[in-house]
Amino acid sequence: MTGRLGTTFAWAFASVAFHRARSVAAVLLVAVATALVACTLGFQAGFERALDRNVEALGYQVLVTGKGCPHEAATLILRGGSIPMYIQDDVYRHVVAQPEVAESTRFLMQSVPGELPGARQLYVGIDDDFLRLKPGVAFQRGEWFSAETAGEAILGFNVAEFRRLNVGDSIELLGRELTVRGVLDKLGTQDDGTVFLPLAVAQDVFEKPDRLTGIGLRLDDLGEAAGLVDRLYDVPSIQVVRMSQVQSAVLGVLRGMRALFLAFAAVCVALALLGVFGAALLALQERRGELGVLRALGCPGGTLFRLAWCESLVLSLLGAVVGILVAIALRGAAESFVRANLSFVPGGPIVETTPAVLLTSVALVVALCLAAAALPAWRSAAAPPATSMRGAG
Amino acid sequence: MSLVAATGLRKDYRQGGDVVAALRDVALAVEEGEFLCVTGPSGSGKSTLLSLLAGLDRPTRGSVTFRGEALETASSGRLAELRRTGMGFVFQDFRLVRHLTARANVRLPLLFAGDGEDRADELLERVGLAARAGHRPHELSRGEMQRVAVARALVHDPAVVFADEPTASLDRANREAVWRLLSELHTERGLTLVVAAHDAEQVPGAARTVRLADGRMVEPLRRGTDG
Ligand SMILES: Nc1ncnc2c1ncn2[C@@H]1O[C@H](COP(=O)(O)OP(=O)(O)OP(=O)(O)O)[C@@H](O)[C@H]1O
Ligand SMILES: [Mg+2]
Repeated sequence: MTGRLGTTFAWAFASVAFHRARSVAAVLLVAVATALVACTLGFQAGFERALDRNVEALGYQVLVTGKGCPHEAATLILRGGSIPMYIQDDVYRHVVAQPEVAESTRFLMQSVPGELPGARQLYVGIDDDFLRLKPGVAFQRGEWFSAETAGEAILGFNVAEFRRLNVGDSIELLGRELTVRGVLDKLGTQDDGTVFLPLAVAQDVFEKPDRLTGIGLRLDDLGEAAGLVDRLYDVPSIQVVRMSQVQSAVLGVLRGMRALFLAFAAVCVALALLGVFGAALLALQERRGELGVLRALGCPGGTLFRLAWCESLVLSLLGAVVGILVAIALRGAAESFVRANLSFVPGGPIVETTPAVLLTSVALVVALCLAAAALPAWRSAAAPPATSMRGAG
Repeated sequence: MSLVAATGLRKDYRQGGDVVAALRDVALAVEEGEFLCVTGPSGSGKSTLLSLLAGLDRPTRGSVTFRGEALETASSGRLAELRRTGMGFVFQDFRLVRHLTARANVRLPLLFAGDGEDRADELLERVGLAARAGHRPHELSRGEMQRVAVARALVHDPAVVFADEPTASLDRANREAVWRLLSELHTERGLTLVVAAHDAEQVPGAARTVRLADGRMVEPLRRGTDG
């Protein structure tokens, strides 16, 4: 049996290698389809995980900002940017005095044009409670600010990496010189691209005395959030957003993107099926004579089916393997595409080409290809024997 | 019991409204170990007779038996089984599978028959092509292709080999070589051979020749030493 299986595959490989042009065409189509399916599945899994990771990394469940569009404010905070609405310090004291609040941190967020054209650098003034709400944050080197008003900065991992900055180096911000005090470990979130300053320093540099962009709250019991939100609703200058709401709103937007990806992948899968089907059909046409001889030699229909189908299997497996490589190579492009086309994209990798995603894509595409190739294979199996032993064939 | 036997064999081909009687009232028996040659002019029905004897096609009337089993009533699955286990074929135009090497072509019948000793290399050696085992048909000469086909016909140790004008597409030297090879295999291995050949052709080693004309057997010729 193994011998027969080996011979069947040897047949298929030999045929694939022999009919190079059409094999290459079919393999390429399958490869592109596999890569796109993998990116689509990887996007689906990666985006949700990235969003979870970013919300988790914020460290707070409830966000208080100045009045405005709540959704916009929340996504801006996830993505980073300047919001032209501020909270006054007295409001801060009122908010943190609420009984449900377990921990809180306040911040002032500003973005200014960065070093690269079009890029903006995010600055966030933070208070001493920052680290307490973000248990995931660790220093790669350096340490926390020496004082609440020190002219110092803590850099996100990517900032230090791209700008080749180290502890003790100076950076300039709106005419003020700041000393790098520490560099954070890579978090896979927006924080990687952020420069952190002491809150008081940020308020001073950006000329926003006693103003805050937001207050992050952690509650003792998330079940009490509704009561807190209701009560704070009465304060006219602020709005309160639960991060879980933001998450589901962002996922809603994501669905549109996913549909686009899916449609694209579906077209490519259809093309791949056409490729494998076409190759199988060509083989069938071209091989009528050969099939007749095989039948004459007593080859059972089942064997003919197996030979033809195995050839399609080899083509789609080859295509799928190439497709995996393409998917891994294409991951970056897919991410850029998503980032360019979605208003809010969480930091860190969002298209995950994990083994599970890759294997699922391969299984899906190969199964579909085999289904498409079944008809030509069945037609091969039904070829009549060469009844005449003579003549051209 | 004869290995292959036919009685009252008739084959009509219907084409449009016309009926071509390709074979009429043919009776024939092939004994085990025999080398039978069917001759006759073009269109006399040689190929038709061979394909009926091999169960490749069904007679319009009459009966064919292989080891006593009636072929005209057997299912096509059973016919295929008899062909792949008991018969070997050599075609006029070789009919090798283009994308397979000589060795893989020789092995084909083993693929269908399931298990069976792999004698491909031994047979390629026997037909003088051991060195060409890895070559594909388009890399071989016509004579070499037909020798590969002969090896393929023998690899599963069939009871009978049918060869329809196996030398018609070859030049003189190759013609002689292939006939000699078949004749040697017949004597070496006691192979039962049924070949079709043109009138003019000399088939060395064929102990008996039957002659067809216009679908009828005209004269069973006995040919032994007379050439
Ligand atoms: N499939 C077919 N349909 C119609 N007529 C056929 C068919 N096959 C053979 N014939 C006719 O049957 C007759 C016998 O043909 P056959 O091929 O058996 O002759 P042959 O002796 O093998 O000829 P050749 O020496 O040219 O190979 C011929 O008249 C031929 O035209
Ligand atoms: Mg003929």
